[in-house]
Amino acid sequence: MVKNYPCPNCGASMQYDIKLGKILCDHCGTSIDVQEADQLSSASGDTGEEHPASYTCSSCGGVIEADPKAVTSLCPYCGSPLVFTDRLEGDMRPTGVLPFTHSRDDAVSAFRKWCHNGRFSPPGFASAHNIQNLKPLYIPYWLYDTDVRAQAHASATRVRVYVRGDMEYTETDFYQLYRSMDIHYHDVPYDASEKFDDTLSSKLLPYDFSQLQAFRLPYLAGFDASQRDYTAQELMPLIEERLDAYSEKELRGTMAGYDTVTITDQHYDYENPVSRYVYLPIWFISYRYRENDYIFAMNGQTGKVIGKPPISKAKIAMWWMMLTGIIFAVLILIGVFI
Amino acid sequence: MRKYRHFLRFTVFALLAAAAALLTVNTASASSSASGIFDEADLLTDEEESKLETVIDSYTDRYDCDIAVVTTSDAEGLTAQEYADQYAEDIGQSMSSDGRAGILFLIDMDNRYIHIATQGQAIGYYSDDRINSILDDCYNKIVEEDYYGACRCFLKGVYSYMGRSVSQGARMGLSGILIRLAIALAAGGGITAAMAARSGGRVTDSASDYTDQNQSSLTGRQDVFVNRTVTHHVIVHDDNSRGGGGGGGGSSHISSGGGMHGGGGRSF
Repeated sequence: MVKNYPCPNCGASMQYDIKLGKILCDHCGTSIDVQEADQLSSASGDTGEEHPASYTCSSCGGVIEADPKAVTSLCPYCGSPLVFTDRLEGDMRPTGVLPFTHSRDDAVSAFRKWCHNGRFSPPGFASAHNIQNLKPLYIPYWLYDTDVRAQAHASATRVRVYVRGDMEYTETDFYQLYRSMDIHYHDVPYDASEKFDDTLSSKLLPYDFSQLQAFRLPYLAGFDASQRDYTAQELMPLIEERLDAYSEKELRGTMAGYDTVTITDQHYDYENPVSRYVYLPIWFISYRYRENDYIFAMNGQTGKVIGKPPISKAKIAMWWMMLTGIIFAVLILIGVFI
Repeated sequence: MRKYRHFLRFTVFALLAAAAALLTVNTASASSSASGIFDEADLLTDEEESKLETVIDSYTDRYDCDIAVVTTSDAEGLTAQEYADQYAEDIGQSMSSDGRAGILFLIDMDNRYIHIATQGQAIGYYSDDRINSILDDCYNKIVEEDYYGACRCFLKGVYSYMGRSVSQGARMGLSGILIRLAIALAAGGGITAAMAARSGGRVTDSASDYTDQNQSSLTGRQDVFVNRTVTHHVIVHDDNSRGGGGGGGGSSHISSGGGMHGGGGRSF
């Protein structure tokens, strides 16, 4: 089923506005709360199938070919922001969404700063035309709460050095240590989308989940979003791997006062796992240059930027030669006149 | 690239200014008879003499000094230093320490000695260290019987130090330019790399983002002492004595003719 949000004042299709935190009509400037928008009766346009491949726009009736996992779209005919409500039901319905706090202006200025305003980038990379491709996305994540019973054995040493007369003595005491801890982890996130690379998404963390809102469809109006590719159970081993590392650090923290500590065995038991399906905000653009894909991503809530910009060798060479020329000339002038 | 037109123009301008500074020639008085080649031991061919004379002419003009190259196979019973000092006085180089700068290079086949004599203001320019460094180069040529090469090394020494007080350092030659180029390349590269650098982002979240202190607790703890080992070694005392450093500066002396001279030499 397709849903759009017609303005109660002028009928044009509305979308979520980041700066206002409300659903805004571009045409007449009317804005309403997300809650209010959620109550608006939906105009539908479905084809009757379980998971249709094409939808009809609820505003203009045009036929839209949708990506199989996409849950939103912009109608290519009338430009209305649409939400595919049937793809957000049952176990595909998120419990929470973290709204954007950084607007397009913030993202564009972060992008320019990130690529040094295009100083070393291939021509056109920092142009207005390319920057138009900067998109706000919601990425599906699982958030985990879990209890861990952590245990470890370790060998440790304590060293003392002292001098008596002409001799230096090194005294080494050897210990066997045992520690066990109960640790509770909350809101541990893992990226549930196959497309988005996990090492990249982990660099965007942390998010402040105290700002997490109960999920309502209108939050997605105007943003790209897709269904998750993985269940909570499928990602649990990856979460456990991460938490094992955290727990080891916690245990080491209790083994203070020794000069060396070597863990000889460790064991982690996970209990009471609870998972929540949420959408998290990201500003994103990808660019292909010389057989490589370059990605810029910005955490839509905290503004943290990751990714490496493409570098034009010609521009680097030019800057190098110019700087060398100037420094060389200055050194010669100093040498001649001092 | 178009945006950087102005920056490029500035770079070209700066390089031209540097080139101009390097090639500036001071024209001074005409050459005097106190300069020239006096190849009495006939160690040089006519062509070699002529080439050396061209260089001497240009340097005497540029640096306002007298330059002489002398070879002899008969030192008339004198030491190389005495012979060089006397020769310099005979051809008219200055006898007082504040007179016109003069320098003379002697290849003495009789005493088997090379000697550089400095006259006038050149005494101040040519410290013992500088003289020794020139003699090092000349010596390497002499032992190969490359007398023309030795004279060229001497003239290089004139270029490097004539008119340059000890605090100033040598005049910039090819090696000076190359070193500056190397430094500029390295510095330019370093600055460009620093400007273009962008790490792809680091992981910045940690366990503390996901745990609460009051929700985690230590449930078991054991520290068991196993054993103790002790090792020892004798402490060795080191006595370092430090030697004193030497000093620079040009030494000078008065010749039998009453003239003030500096310089130095060595046998081969």
